Amino acid sequence: MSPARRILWAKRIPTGDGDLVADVVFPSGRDETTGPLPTLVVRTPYGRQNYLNDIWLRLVDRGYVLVTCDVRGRGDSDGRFAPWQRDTGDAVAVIDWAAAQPWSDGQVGTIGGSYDGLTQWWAVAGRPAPLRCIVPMAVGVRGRPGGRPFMDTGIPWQYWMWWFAFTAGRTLQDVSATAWGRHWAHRPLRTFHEAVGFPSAAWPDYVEGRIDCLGAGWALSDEELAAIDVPALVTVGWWDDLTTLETWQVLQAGPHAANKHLLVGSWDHAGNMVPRVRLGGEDVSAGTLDPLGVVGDFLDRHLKGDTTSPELPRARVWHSGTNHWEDLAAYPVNAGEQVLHLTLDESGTGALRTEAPDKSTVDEWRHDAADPVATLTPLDNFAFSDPPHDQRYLEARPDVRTYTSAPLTEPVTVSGRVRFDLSVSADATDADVFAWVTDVHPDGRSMVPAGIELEGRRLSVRNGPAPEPLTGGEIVRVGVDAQWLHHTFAAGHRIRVLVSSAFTPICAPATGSGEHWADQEYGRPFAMRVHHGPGYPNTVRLPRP
Amino acid sequence: MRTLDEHGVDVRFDEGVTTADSCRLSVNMFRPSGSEPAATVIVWTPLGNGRATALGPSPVPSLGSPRHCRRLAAAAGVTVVSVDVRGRGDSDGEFVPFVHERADAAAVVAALAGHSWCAGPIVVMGQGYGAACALAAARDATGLVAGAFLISPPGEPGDVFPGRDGARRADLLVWRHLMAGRHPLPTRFADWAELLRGPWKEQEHGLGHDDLGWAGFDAAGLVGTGPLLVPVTILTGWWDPACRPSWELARACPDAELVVGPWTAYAARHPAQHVGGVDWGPRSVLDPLELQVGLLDRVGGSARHNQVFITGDNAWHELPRTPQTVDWVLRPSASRDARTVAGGGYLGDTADTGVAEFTSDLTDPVPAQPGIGPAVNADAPAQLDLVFLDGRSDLVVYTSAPLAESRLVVGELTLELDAESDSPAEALWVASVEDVPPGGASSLHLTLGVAAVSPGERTAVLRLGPIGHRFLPGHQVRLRLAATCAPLFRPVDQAPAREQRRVHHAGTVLRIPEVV
Repeated sequence: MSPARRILWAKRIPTGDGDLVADVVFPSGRDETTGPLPTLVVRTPYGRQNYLNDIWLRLVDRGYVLVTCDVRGRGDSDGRFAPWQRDTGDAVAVIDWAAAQPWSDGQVGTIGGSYDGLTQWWAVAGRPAPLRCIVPMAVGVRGRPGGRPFMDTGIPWQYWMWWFAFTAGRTLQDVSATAWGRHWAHRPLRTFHEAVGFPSAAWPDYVEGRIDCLGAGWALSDEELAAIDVPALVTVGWWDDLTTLETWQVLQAGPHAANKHLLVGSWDHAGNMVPRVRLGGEDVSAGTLDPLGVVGDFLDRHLKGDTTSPELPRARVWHSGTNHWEDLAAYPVNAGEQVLHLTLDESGTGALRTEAPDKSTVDEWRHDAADPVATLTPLDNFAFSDPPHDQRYLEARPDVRTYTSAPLTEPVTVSGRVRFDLSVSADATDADVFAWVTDVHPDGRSMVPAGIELEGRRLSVRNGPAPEPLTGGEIVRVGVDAQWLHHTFAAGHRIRVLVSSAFTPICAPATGSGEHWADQEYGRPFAMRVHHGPGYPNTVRLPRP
Repeated sequence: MRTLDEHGVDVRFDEGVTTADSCRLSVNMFRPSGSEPAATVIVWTPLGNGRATALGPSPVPSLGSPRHCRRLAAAAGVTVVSVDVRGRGDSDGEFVPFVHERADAAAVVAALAGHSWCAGPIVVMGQGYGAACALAAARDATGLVAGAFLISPPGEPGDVFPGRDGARRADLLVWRHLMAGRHPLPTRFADWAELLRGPWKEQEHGLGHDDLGWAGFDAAGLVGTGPLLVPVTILTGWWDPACRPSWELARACPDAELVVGPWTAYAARHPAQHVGGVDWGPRSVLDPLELQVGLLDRVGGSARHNQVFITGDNAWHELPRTPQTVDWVLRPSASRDARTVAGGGYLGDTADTGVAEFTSDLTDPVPAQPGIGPAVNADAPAQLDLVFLDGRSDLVVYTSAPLAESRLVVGELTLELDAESDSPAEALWVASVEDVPPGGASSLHLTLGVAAVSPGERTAVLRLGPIGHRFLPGHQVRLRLAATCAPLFRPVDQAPAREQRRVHHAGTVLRIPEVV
């Protein structure tokens, strides 16, 4: 492919409040004089030129003109960037502008992943007239009902400082320039942005609760999601942003489900464009396909009326464990559930059993915020890192507790979101609990079948957004929503649950204090416990087909 | 290269500096952790803080990139500040070439002089456009700047921007395109060869821009070459378009260290042993970081000698500020036809009354390089051997007899040209001086000169070089004259596609400064 192609650079799009700037990219051999074409729109904070690579230009060469636009305050666009704040007005202005150009046939689709998927959800909420379809990849937008901060978990993410550093100023920053390792332990976290050298970053907005992931500025309501009547193709990988699958549940249940499609593959965040054959040390080559080829077929159908390629099923999902693609009428496929109980066996080893334990036991560990459970995630390459799927390096720590089933006599398929119900206590005013499942292979590998950014629950918000500090070692019951799966644990494999009180470097470790999280210094280590036995439910619920 | 603890440096990104007209400029700061900085270095980074370099991969980090700033901070124990110029990188405002740089640079220096991260003497640095900013700061922030490190300072209008000696550089459109947004714009999507062959007034639109102001670009606002009174180190290469202004600036400054290597503009920024298809030897490579540390060490100390790499000798020489030279005069003549294909052009002591003729065709211009060349495509290697021109008939070439003894040449050459064109518009003349080793199978390009001659005029003086070269015994001197040099120089839009050119030998003289 010759790289030469027509690009109109830095076109200014008036909004009534400053201009937004976009490049307009034509397919090879076409230009603004050769007749109108269906039009793709991208809106990004990551630099609009990021789309001028051969991966995305393959889509353009299917016969689209691409408008790649810097969002407000980023790149060459005027104004100040307001991260995580819905910008539907700008979205509508860009889409209307694109459709009105002589080189556009007025049919607009949107593409892009992660934040560039978020900007599509914000666009479709404004119902711009020329918008015909959307392809938001790898980002969740459904608000959670609990009202707690931080995705309704109550646990702040220290990771976000990395993202705020990445998007500080107007252009993408060289985040590898700062000594993250030296500063990650900086406290109090209120001044973390100063310590790592990004004083202009949006971290204070996060600290003060003015912006939040899945917060008011970010999320769409269920009513807004259900009202989306244009066709949508949602893609995500199993080791990716799984809040995407919560969003999908509303689309699938809504009145316009017929034109909604889901693609879930054996990839990570970046894999939505080009999947890798190995992830986290695991061979996932059997699941590689060309996601942008699927996107192209979808766009051709809805922007050009091209029906030569078969229509996508409702959901095309990589079935991990059995390692094959499945076309589903809905995801997840769950009719029932299997409940397993966490307990300690006679030797004091954590076990998963189908029966509830009839004896009271306690699994205790020492939580130290200064030496927290930490995944092998390189801090300077955070969002693009690829930590090991085999969790044994974490299980080797005394503060990661494991509960393992007996070898399965027959395969167990799980489809849907894993949920924990835990009875825990802490010798502190507050603490966190995390839980996740792995598939233990006969050779001992303990492989996480989905999810890299795990979610836990802060104990003080166990009952709702109003904090209720722990008192006197009380045993509290908390729910933890964990991974989305479409996975079969093969016969001979074992199901394992991991429980911890920290999950860094993504989440800021709890210090045991009741102070605002951003003002806490490291406290003393304290004891954490899981209580098993009558009156103290500890279960993992596995949704089953 | 030194082994340095680059993470022992604290950073402060996107710190704001406000100009007199209330524009927020963005700077990044790098400071050795846990120690008071010995000095403050301010670097201007018009290409965008090195986030994305248009100059291709290099083991030597670009001046002002985060990597370079950390390395310099760690190596010299100084605070290093990289500055996004107005409208580029994270700075607010609109980028208009050269217009705001003087006032903005002075504002940046004044603001940083009082910043808590900055201490000690202030040394300014920059390369290319950034060198012009640093130079403006060193001149205007009187009393605040104690030294300057400049790579390829571009001089005044007519040295590099918007071209040389009245001839506009078409390939600067690549630079203007790179600089047309806060992020460098990609260059790989344009058919540059086709684009730069087109009329000036159509180039900007052909590239896909609306309002770069390219057709009228005149580099107004570029600060000229006056002396700097503080210690300054200037780095350039013989094939760097900024070699001449660098050379002149060094002569004008009382405490200048001039370093001229066997480098193109790219190689002056990213040193390499193989440049232009020639292996200049491992000693030709200098680490710019060491020169920067050296400058910081000598601020307030004694002046240095100039270091120039004499090609031919392929060795560094310490030179006095103004070497004693005499004119070595060579005149063209031709026994029959001076066009390359005929090969009758001769360069010697004797004048000739003849005339050499050729036809120039703008639709098939004489190429500066075998392909589109590194001026447009950073991945294209430079080629100093000009034998690829030998088959052409749209230029004239004059070659001396093999030299009996070696002759050392240092300084600027002049070509007094007596020539004419049948064009009703301004006519371009491009001269190249080369060294032909024994056997004649290759021809090493040493320097280039250009002139734009008005209709009706016959004479012009072309300035070539400077060069630092030793012609060895048995080698020959070659002069090549052409009407085009694509994609570097392009005539005005009124020039006809085909021109008849005539060179009058009697009035044409090449003067070469030979060291006595």
